[in-house]
Amino acid sequence: MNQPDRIEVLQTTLDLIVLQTLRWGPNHGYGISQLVGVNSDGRLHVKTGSLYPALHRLERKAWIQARWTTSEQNQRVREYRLTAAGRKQLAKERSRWEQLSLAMAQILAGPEGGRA
Amino acid sequence: MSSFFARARRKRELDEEIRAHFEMAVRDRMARGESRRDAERAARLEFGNVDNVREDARAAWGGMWMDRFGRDIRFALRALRKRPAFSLSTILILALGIGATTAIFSVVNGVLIQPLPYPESDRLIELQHQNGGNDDIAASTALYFTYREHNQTFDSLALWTSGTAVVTGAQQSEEVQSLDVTHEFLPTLGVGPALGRGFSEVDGQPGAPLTVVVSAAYWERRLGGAEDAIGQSLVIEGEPYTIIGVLPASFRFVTEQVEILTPMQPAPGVGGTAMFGSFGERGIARLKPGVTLAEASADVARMVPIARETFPPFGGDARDDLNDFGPNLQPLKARVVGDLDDVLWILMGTIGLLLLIACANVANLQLMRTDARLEELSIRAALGARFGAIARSLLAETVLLGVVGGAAGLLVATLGLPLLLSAAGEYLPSVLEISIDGTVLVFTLVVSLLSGLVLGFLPLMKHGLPGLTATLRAGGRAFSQSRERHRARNLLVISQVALALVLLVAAGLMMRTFQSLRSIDPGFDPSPQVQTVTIPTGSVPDFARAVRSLSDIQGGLSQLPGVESVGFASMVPLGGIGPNTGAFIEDEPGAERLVGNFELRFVSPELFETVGTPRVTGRDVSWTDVYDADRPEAAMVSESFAQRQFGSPEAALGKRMRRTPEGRWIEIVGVVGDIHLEGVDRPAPDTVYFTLRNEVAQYVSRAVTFVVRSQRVGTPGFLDELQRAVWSVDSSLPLTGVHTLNELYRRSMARTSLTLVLLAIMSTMALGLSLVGIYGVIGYLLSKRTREMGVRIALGAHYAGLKRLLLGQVLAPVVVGVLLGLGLAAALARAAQSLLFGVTALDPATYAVVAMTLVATAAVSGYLPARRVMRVDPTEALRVE
Repeated sequence: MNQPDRIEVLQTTLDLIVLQTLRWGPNHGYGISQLVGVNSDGRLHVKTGSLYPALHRLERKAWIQARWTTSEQNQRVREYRLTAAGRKQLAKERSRWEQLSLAMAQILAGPEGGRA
Repeated sequence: MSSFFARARRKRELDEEIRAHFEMAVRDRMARGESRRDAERAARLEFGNVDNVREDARAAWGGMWMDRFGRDIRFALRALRKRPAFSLSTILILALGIGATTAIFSVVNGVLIQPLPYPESDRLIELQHQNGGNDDIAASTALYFTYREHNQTFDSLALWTSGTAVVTGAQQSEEVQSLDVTHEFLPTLGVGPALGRGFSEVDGQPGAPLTVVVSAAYWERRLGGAEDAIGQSLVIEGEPYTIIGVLPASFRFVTEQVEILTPMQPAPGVGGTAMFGSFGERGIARLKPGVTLAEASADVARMVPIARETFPPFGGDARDDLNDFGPNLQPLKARVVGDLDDVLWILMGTIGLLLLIACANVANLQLMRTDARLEELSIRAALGARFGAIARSLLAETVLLGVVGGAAGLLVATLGLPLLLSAAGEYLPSVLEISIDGTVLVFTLVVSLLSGLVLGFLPLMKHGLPGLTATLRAGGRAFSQSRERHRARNLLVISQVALALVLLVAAGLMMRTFQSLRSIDPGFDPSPQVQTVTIPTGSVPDFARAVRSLSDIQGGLSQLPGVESVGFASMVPLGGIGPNTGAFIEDEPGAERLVGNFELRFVSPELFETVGTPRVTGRDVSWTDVYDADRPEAAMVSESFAQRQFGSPEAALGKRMRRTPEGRWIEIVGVVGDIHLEGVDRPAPDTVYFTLRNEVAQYVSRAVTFVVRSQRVGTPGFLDELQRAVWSVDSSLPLTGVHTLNELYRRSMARTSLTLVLLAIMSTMALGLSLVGIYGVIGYLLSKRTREMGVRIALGAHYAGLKRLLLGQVLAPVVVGVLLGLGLAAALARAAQSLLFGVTALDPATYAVVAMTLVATAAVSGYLPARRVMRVDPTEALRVE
């Protein structure tokens, strides 16, 4: 199941990814997993085993909200949307992530990392 | 509960969400050209373990324990259904134990825990006093005025007396239960009227217009429940009273039935009628918040000398007999509860023992059950189930048993409580409301859960995880039983025997008490052939006329066919508590002394003959003694009074006494046998009997009780004839208090007989349960040793020797249990001493009989299974497993 060219998403970053994905509009679980693949050019893969627990966890924290609706293919689906609190959380997580990746990039580009 | 349903809905939704995901994935793959089968397979692979996804998602909701709990309960239900015999017998035993405990607890709850229906009722006390040996002295107006002015510890205080009053009017005259109270009475209790107003200070002034507050029941019954009843007039004892208020329907005052409240109007202060030394009224007080009974007692002790100095002494200067006078304050609760609390706490304790026996029995079943399941449990342990998980599932089973047993027990209690109350009817104060209320329900729930937990922990403590794995290795085929397992079972047998012995000893002691009460001569003939009827004469305004009527009634009644003799008295034996007073006694002319603390009753001629009290010496009083003003007034005294005051009954004859220093002399003309006036288990008090000629009679009691001895008592029409005979003299006189002396006698022993009946039931249950337990344990032990016995017999052991060996092993724990039980019973019986009469708490005969009974029955119930094992064919036995 783990194809070598796909990156497993860490639990901690999954929240950020889900929130960010929902910024484009409400979506259901399957749609989110597909979108993540598309938006990362197939590099990222979200395991369903982690996706649904993550969705329910975010829902419990009131960052996203769920409702039942019907998809284009006439399928009853549970659709998630960002809440105001979720938007705020997303901004916070994003800035933390940006700082982290900046720091990571610095470390990796430093004298030690240059050898790699 | 709502969150439980919400949870079930979310579970369904999660399943649907996952299914939708799966279907969309399949559809996408099929759109890309895969076959349906390949698509489904790939989607499933990609999805991973659906159960895990589900679990993890649910974990995100929080409250996982709910799922686990539900699973454990389902599992437990399945396990219990699979062994219906075990489950049913467990539930039955628990239902009996918990049911009995619940029933008794609801009585304890109603009587001891919530007896007073007033706000902050723990601040209410009774103003009781003591002097020398007498600790039941009431209060008085002198004390009331003193305390009201000088106290530092009461919010308020009030006096009350109870009695009956005759209400006359348009309707037939009627005797009602009345309370005469000072105006602070209702505010002290914290009760307000439901309608109208309560008494004001003005209502309590001497000479103020008379007012009355009526009970809700009286208002409904006699006044039609009309609001305009307020302001109307009631004629009570011949005087018009204005109705000013109606009490709430829930109003109760300790053990008194109240229909009307009238205001006491004591003349205040010095110069009034208040004197120090007579104690005719009862007092209540509400303590200031935070004040203890001891502080209030100190306060009263400080105020008693003030009252002594302020008010003139009652009965002249010679009141040295009140030198020890002081407070004996009691919580008001004690007045309701009385001597009930001993009985109830002891019953509660014994019922606790019964519950323990029941639990021991069930624990025993549980142990056998766990033994039978050891293999299953060991396999689960070997397959990696954690100890916690196994423990949880075992506990779930026993807690479920406990709860179901408790629910069944609640049913038992609901059915049993009315029976219990009707058995106790004569003894429990009828004003109390005893029911299975919220407190009782919580109690039952806690008891059920606790028994469930205790039952579950027992096998766990015995085995634990290491035990389980060890068993797996032994293949559940240990050749003979291990020592530890013996020990657990023996402990159960020992504790059951010990507890059952305690209960049996309690029942035995009660039975002996009952016997000694029965063997006591009450001083009268407790015969069903003696009828008593009480006639209040308060509606006859003139006392002399009332006396005439009474003597006419006596004459009329004795004319009735079949009537052997008729008499009457201010109070018949066991009919209630009468006045306790003092008088001056003349030993020889000029030498007087004050004698206190004797009972005073007023009697008619022929009374003693009618109730069957023997005359020791002298003569009976006669109507001539009453009417002939030229003769000295006559009195009779009890044998013990004559003995104590004059040395012998004969010496009392002709001696004189008077109530006040300047009063008229009364001559002692006869001595009668002692009567246990206040109850068979109470000592017969020193008693003096005056005639109705004495002027005090009219203040003590305007209601007299007639006693009629006839073979016709209890036959239809007899009471009607009595009533007609009374009405032919005065048609306004109501008949009340219709009993036989036998009823009064039985009622005075109601406490003992109630306790006896309950203890007998409980100890029989206990004995039955422990015998079943012993039979079960020993039978099981022996059946496990069938193989061993077979081997022994095959190797040539003698039957007789084997029998001795088995019986010895059966009896050893029983004997240990009996010894332990004897010690326990001896320690506990001391607590029950107050319930016993004529028997010591360590009565050797009772203990010996109970111990022997127990050993004998236990031996039989152990011998039966032993014999079965002995009969076994060795070859069979070896093949069994």
